[in-house]
Amino acid sequence: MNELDGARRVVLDGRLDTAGVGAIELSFTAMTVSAGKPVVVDLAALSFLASLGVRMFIGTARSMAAKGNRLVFYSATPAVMEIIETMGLAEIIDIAADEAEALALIKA
Amino acid sequence: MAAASAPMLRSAHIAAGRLSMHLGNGLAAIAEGGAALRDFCAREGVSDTVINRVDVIFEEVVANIVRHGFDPGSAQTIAVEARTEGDAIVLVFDDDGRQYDPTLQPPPPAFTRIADAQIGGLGVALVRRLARSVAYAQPEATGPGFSPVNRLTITIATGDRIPPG
Repeated sequence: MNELDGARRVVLDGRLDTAGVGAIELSFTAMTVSAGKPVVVDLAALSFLASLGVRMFIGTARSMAAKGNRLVFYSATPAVMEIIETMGLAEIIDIAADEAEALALIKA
Repeated sequence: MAAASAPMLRSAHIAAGRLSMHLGNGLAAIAEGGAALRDFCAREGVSDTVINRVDVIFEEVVANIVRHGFDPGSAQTIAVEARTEGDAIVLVFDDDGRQYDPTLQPPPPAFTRIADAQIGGLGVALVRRLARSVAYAQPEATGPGFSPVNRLTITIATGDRIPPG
């Protein structure tokens, strides 16, 4: 996690399976929902996403939207992107190709 | 919580085009069984894209059985068979947990706003969207000591596989 110009960057890596979500959900929520500013999430090193991870993303996006802050994911691998698209997440969460595009979305 | 030292992957047998595993009651079964299944798929020449779909489906089904079908710490079993069949991988999950037919679960409603997105029931929906078919049955007993209650048969299209070896 680090602070950028007007946004916070959070990096996810490894597997967001049942065990992975259990290990990071509290800290991910704290880093994003409690940021008090827009958040961009780097998914380049996230190798696996299943439904508990999708649920975590929806809950985070909903809580951030309620506070008026944007959440943008970027650099998803093809495996993770397939799950994002299959579950319709791209309909409700901004997905960018890379960090520059994610930051541009935040400022748009 | 299950006993920490109990092996979750109790047995695994790989033959040409077929993998059989017996998993114990615990979330560690997902990690151990999932690794064996990914290895089997790679040996069978399945593409990385399809291996990920198989991996996600395995995770969803086993996690659902362990979390909702089994009693915590009980000596219950999931028998998993994976086999190649033409242009598909077929996964068969037999378990002796509570009777449950996930194919009866209605799909979550479509959403276009974050406030409307449903949080529960996503796992079954994900399995059905990634698979070619999902079928439920109540199986016959397969042998002494294991009387499965549920059988889930899931077929996943592989497209063109790379011939093994």
